[in-house]
Amino acid sequence: MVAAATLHAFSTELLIGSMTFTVTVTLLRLVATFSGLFTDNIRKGLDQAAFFASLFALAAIPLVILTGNFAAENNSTSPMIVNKVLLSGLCLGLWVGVVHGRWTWGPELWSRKGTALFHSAITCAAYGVAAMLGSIGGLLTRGETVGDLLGFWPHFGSAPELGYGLSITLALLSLVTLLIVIFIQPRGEPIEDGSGRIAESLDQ
Amino acid sequence: MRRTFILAGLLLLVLVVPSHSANPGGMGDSSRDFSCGGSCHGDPGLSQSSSAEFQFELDRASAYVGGPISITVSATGMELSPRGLVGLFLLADTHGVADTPEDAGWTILSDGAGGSGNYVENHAFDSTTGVSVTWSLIAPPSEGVYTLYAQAHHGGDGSPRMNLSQAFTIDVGPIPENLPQMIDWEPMTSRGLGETSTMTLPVVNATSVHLEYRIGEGQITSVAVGLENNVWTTELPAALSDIVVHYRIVMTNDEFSETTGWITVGMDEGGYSADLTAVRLQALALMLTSLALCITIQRRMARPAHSKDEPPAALISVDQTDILAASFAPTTLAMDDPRRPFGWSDEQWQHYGAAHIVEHQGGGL
Repeated sequence: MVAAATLHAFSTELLIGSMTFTVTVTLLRLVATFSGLFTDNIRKGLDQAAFFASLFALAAIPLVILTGNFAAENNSTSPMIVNKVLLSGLCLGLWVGVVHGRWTWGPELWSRKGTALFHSAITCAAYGVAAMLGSIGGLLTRGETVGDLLGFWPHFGSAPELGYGLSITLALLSLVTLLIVIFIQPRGEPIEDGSGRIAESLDQ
Repeated sequence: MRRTFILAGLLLLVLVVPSHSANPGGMGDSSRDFSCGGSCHGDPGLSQSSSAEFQFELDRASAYVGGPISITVSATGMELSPRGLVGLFLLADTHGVADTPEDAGWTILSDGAGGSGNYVENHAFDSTTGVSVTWSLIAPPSEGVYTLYAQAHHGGDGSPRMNLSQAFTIDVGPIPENLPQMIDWEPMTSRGLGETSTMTLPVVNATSVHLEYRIGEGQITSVAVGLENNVWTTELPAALSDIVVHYRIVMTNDEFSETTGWITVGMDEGGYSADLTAVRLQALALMLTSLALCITIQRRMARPAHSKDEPPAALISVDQTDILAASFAPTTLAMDDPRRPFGWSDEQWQHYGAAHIVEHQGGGL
């Protein structure tokens, strides 16, 4: 029988590996957008590699959260684990945003500097949150983190203490916000590339 | 040639991988089996043997069934990592599972570090001084010769290291008749700062009971324990700072004087607690909010920028110009209004005058 902690380590390595790959390739594609580097084939390959790696990471996130939940001891008494749960939600939300952006904008997102920058920014932000999660894991299991090499890296030794009622209110408000965004906010139009070709969009 | 360089570079990267270190920050005091070493320290491919030498010391020659006994394990002469962290186990056997002293019938009252586990981590100043842990135990409920082992886990010279002691035997004999003893006692091993601890002691066969306590290795203070309604009850004074307090119970009658091992009281950390369901709801809120933010920005950015001069679509859809014009338009216009264009008929001025004023002069009378 494999312990939950071992499964958590395994799934975490899958997640961080695929996220690191996604971020690296996304940044390379961003550089191509701004500098004109690389051929069209390489640009297309970078975009698709980032997209499929982000899909793989998205599939790995729930596995990491579940195994981490089973592996944790005394979840409710450790501020660091509470922070880990909170940051897991943020990481998942941002990463779904990354996948949603690429899915709806299509590969032509790289034809506009604004969308290319925003997509790269949320990809990096989600990766930063994942790095914080890994840092907390390192502190819990090994008592130290590579983040210690950075003077500003937070240690998450304290966590917010919100009551049950306020938590339900926040969850409902956020759900209403998301529903408003999905069903009421006007949808964007497909992005056109420089040649006037309309990018495929599944958000219609 | 380029491939050769790439392959050489990759090979170099493989060769410079540092030797493995298990958990240099430790795993924390706990109750652990011998198999805890199976993943890191116990793996012969990763771990190396330790030079640690063990010494056992008992506070009495033998133990009685269910009676108290303290065992001090010292480990010296080991290699040390820069942290100097050494974890000491007290084990009942080395099968790998179910080998803690509890599994053999012992009860750990105190591990000397404010807990009651069989694994304690300490920082060694140097290998000559080493580390030392005193466990306060209650002997198993049946007579016999019991074996205990000590095991040390630590790092040194860039590798995880471990060593297992020789077997150490303890005779557990029958209880002498009329021996004062504690029955099913769960000692207090931690408390909050400034808390006075009231303790109920299940002592039998005793005519007098004393609570002895000391701060660190300081002077021992003895307090008589009162008997009220056949219950021995006493109080351990509050600690006003983060100090290490040890206490023990001395039970006497006409024939015997029996003493428990020293029990160490740790400080509760912070007292933080959170409702995990509430935390999960907060995580859900964070997830939905961040996703909503991403989607709304993505939709906003996906709209075509037709012209820099053209107002955004959202503003167009709520264009209120006509309503404003109507509200500002005069209800009656004077026929001699100086703004009336030359050549307009009265009827023309009545019908289109208001719109003319709004269009050319900003509305209002």
